[in-house]
Amino acid sequence: MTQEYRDMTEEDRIVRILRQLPDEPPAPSTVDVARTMVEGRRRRRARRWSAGVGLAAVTAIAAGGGTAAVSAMRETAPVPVPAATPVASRSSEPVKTPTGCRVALLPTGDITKALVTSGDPTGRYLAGRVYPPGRKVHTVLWKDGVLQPRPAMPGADASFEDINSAGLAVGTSFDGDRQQAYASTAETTTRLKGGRAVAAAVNDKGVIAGTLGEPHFGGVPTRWPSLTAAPVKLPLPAGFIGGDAGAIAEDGTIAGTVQRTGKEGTGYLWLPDGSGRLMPPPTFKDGSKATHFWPESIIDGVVLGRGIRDGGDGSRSFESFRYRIATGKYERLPIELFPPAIGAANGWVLGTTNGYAPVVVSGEEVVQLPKYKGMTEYVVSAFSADGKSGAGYTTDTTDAEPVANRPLRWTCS
Amino acid sequence: MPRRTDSEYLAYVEGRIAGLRRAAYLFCGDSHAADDVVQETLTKLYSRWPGITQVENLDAYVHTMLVRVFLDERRRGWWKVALLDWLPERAAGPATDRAEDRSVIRTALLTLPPRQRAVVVLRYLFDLPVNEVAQILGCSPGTVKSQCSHGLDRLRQTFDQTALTVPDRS
Repeated sequence: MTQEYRDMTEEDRIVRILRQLPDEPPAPSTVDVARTMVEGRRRRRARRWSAGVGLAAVTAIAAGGGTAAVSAMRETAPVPVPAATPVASRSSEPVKTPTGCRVALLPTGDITKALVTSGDPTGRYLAGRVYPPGRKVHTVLWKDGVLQPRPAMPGADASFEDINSAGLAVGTSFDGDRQQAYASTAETTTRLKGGRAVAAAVNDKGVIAGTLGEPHFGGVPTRWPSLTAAPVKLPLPAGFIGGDAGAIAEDGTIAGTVQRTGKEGTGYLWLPDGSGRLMPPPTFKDGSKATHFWPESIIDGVVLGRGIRDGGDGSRSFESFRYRIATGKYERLPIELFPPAIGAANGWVLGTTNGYAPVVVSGEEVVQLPKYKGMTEYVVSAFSADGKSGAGYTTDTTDAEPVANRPLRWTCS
Repeated sequence: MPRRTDSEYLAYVEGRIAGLRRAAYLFCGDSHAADDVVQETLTKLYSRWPGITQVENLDAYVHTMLVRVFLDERRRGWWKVALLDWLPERAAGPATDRAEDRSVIRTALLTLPPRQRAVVVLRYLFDLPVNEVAQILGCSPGTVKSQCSHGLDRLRQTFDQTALTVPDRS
């Protein structure tokens, strides 16, 4: 028997087992074709209009059924646009919402498709990646909106997940189907010690947080004290087998998730004094208890994230919360934000609505950030600590591109 | 034939929605998440319907859109969306009946990274040729082949650990 024949029969065996899988969804369809037309018409209008008159694009759509499928298509609430003139003209009053916000496309040479994947606390550094036609995706870095030379990360599908105020970027690339973690300075790219790993966050002291092993599947939340240091596995509470460290604050507090065997992760904090704390499930607006909390970002003693509640019918709903580490109390945000919700030191939160619009939440107010050339779908990825600078990218489907990614930076006064 | 009226859209969707739900269900492993992906795919399709006559192979175009919405949803989930969310409990020992077998197979499929899972589903469960999968995923045929190889290898390990066997040909 030849090797090729053996390989073919082995492949055939696996495929035949795979084909035992029924492909019919067990639950009745929740796809609402009429709503695809309502929402599709809205998007057509939004594309035709210029960026400055996109208000109608965030008009609340009439409520539909209670399923996740429908709620995902619905705006939570009409979102106000920023005032044309700064409301802070009365200079004695503190600025309570961002004003005078502008959006700008970040330079990418002659490459059209690009993302911003992270930013530093000052708002000066942004990291991202570009998709040159016919060539490998590669990472890029901007300082004050200008592209910087930066050595390439080895491996495929590289991405910077965070960057600190000194320009130290951390991220991950694939070696085959395994991820490896790297740290990048202006001069060098260093593979983090410990083998298979992902690096998720770095603070201004150069401490890196991430996961050793395979993220989401029994990997171990980990901290690297520096880019050259050996990894230090973060302690897990009793009964938990793994997790992921996803965000790190300047004081060294790390937020992430921990999981039990076969269960999904739930929020956990590793505090600078070496202790840890499970983040309790928050209470939803209707008084019901969430089943989990998933942290998304951390700043100055505040964790931003989402509560998750599983319905008895298999549906799942979300509400966004601010968790204050000092008091252990949650504060519900006025709207649900698609992840990540990113906080600033003044309490503002950058995120996107259910309708993919970029917004800043300030108290109970939700301020829509300007859109870029009428594009309608956004992901945010960076927010400066002072709340004056944010970044993200578009994910629209256009006539020319299935996913039109444009790297963007918002600045406000 | 021009395909730009609402009635033509409705007729197209009526004929394809079951197939799209099946594909999305295999990608997601959860019927609600699958319906979210189909809902978004059809919304994108309708928003572009007036210009759709320029598309030569509408089914391939919609499949591409479906896969990209699925991958985009996964990406939006970022690090805190544990893929285990939708997994049934992992089987602890050898499978004993067909329903349990299917649970193990679905669990094994869902442990593949989303992009690799999409490649395996399109290539082996939808029988699409390598070049078409490459076109849908926006990658080279070589990448499709290597992803298939890695994916099947990983599935083989799980199937062997749980003593899953090949069904009799009927």
